[in-house]
Amino acid sequence: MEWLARLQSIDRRWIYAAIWVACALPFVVNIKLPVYVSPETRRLYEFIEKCPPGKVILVDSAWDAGSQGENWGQVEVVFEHLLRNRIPFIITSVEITPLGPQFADQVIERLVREKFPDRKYGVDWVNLGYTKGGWQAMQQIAKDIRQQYKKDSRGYSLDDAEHLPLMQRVRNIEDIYLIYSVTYSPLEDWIPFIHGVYGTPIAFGCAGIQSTTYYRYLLSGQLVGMLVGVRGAAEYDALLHPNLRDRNSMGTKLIVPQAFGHLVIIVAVILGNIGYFAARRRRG
Amino acid sequence: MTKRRFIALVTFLAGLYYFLEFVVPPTIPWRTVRGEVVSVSPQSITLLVNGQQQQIPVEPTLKVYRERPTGAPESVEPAQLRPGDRVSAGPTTYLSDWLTPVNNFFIVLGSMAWGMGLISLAMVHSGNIRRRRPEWYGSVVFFLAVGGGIVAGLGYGAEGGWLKEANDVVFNYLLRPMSSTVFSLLAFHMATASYRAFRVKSGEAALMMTSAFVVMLGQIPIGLWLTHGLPSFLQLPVMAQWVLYIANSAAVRGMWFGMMVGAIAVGLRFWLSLERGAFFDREL
Amino acid sequence: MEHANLQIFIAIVLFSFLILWKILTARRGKGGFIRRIPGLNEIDEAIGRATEMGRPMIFHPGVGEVQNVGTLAALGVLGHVARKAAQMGSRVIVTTAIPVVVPVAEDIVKQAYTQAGRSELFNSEDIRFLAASGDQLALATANVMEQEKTAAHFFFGMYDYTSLLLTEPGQRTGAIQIAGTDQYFQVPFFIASCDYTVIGEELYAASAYLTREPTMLGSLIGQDYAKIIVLAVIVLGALSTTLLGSQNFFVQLIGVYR
Repeated sequence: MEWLARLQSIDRRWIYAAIWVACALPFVVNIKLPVYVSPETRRLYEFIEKCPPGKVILVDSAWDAGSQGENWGQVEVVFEHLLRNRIPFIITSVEITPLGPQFADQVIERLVREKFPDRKYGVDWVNLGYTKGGWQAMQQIAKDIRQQYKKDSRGYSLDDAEHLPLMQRVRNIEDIYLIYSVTYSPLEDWIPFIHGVYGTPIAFGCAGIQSTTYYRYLLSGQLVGMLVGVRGAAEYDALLHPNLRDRNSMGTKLIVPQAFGHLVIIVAVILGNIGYFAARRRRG
Repeated sequence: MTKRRFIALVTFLAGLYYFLEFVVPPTIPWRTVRGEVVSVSPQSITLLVNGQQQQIPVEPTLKVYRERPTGAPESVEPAQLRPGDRVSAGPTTYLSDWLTPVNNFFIVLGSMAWGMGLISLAMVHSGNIRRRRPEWYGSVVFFLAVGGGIVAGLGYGAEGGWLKEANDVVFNYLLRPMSSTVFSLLAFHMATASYRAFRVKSGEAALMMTSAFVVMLGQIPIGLWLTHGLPSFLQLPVMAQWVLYIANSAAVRGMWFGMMVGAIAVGLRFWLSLERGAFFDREL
Repeated sequence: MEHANLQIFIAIVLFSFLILWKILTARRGKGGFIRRIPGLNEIDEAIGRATEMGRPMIFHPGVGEVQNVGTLAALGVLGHVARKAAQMGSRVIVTTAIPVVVPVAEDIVKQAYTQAGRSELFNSEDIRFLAASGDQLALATANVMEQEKTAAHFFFGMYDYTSLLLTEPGQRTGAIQIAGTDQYFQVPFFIASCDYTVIGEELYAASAYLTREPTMLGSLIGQDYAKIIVLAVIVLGALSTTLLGSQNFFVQLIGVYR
């Protein structure tokens, strides 16, 4: 019983080491795990599947290195879906970080190189770059996108029909089917100022920890779907590729260290409680 | 006493602008016309009001709000109107026109505070050096780093040259990876914190731990694997969804209502300088 | 919503009236009852313990800007902590990443020490702007904990992901830690790593609770009346929508957009 009681005071360095091994192991050994697809992920996937021809999707990619672990996978799977179905999309980054559009470019560049070499910038997607201005910027995009952006992130004028043919049929919110905002903690302003005023559907991709505040919007129908942390990205990948072997997105890779990390914490908590009860019994 | 009265007066006036800007309608109510747009020209807007056509001259003081399908108003330029739009138009109450300059004023005021922050830092560190406190050489490094950071900052947005290189080194190759590293420490801290804190000492603690386990296991593939043979309502991912959608959303909504009402109260107390005892020793 | 519509206007005026009315009644001597908030009771205990050990304490007013409601409430708590510390002749170190907080915190702490007649104990170097970003501030604050061997840590205000980076190193030093935040997704971290945690709007009630000023108590009672109204609207809205469909008279009366 003596040794059992010692379980309640394991040196924290052992726990650190266990977390380190659990998170590093999947990078050494190639493992893929099947996932349960949650309703918020499925709703987003099905909503995008139903995108009518002629409409575009606005992806507000406002994340950078700080939340790359979760957000990279969330935009990667949606971009893959859009490129696969040839649904044109426009990238913006409102308010949060000026680095957002660069990171989105990196994700698309890799997808186009590896999977969709025939998709073209300006036809299948346009990156408009960063803008400040919070909800006023959002409403300006809704009213007239050219009022908020004169040029795209590569310096082409939005009226340049040769380089940006896609933008020639996008004027305002009427042309946008869905707004998908991805960052550590998406701006709730999208809901009152865009969904509330124009009725345009909104979806979020957010960090796992922040998701708890957004579930209420799924219940009320103010969000059509949401990708939650690494899990959301992995689930979306599962919908894109029903066969486990075909999945190779960031989400599918990162759900493995997350799973092992969670297990370490759960085991640590159980051990701590065994130690606690053993010590209590010893004291009588 | 005079100083305090003066502070209270300035606080009240600054708050009054924002209060009035929000509650006073953007157009003078008794001179505002509601109707459906018949035609728009650069000089005037023709509206159909109660079956009769009415011309409204376009003047710099005219504000136009278009009613969206959701019922919410949206401010628009007269040129953006289309026949058939339902609008309300009237002379401005001026308050909203001043919003941007007033906001800018507060941003400038806030920026000045950065100087105060730097002075505070400089005082602490120069004190360390002067008094040769333990690890005073760290403070010397601080001054070197501030100098280096300022120089590197000059390279922001530069096209090329050594300043841009310095900017890249400091911000992209030093600060960014360091922030990511600090962020990743959370995983280790989380593990030890939950190991230490989650002890089943009471009924509530047991409930908290059970729900934590359900949500943690429900988020990862192992939860699905452990319970995939059970009826669906007993599967861990389904139970985790219930906790997140129902229990969590109810709690979050409850807390939001309380917090927003609390925020109104705190705001009022500060605006009217009623917060005595905390900031001021006497009533104003 | 850029401007208040009629319903929001009425709600703002009504809530403000209720709060101000209750503040005025409370000032005339009609005090109210306020339930026990365990975390706040322990603040004095923690200050006392730090004083007995002859060690300083740290007050961290969160990562929100100074106009953030959470930060304002935290500065109210700082006022109380500084006054108690001054009375007992103990030292408070304030660390922040928000420059505007520095002069405000300095003023609060200085006033507390002057009032207690211990102005010689006040040192403006104890109000420290340590870094410009939250994560750097957390590391720097952890460093102060080690160097100064602090015995009590108070974390009040708005917090982001850096909460655990502050409290875990603090836990290791063996200090008493009391936290309070209105950011509910940081609450679990505080509960796991602090001795006492004040949750959500309890933070806004903190200065009322600690100072027992009639103004604060009255404001709390006014808030409760406002909450009863909100609750009634929710219940009526839910009932009318369930029974009469989504476009009934009540929904139109309170002006919900489609």
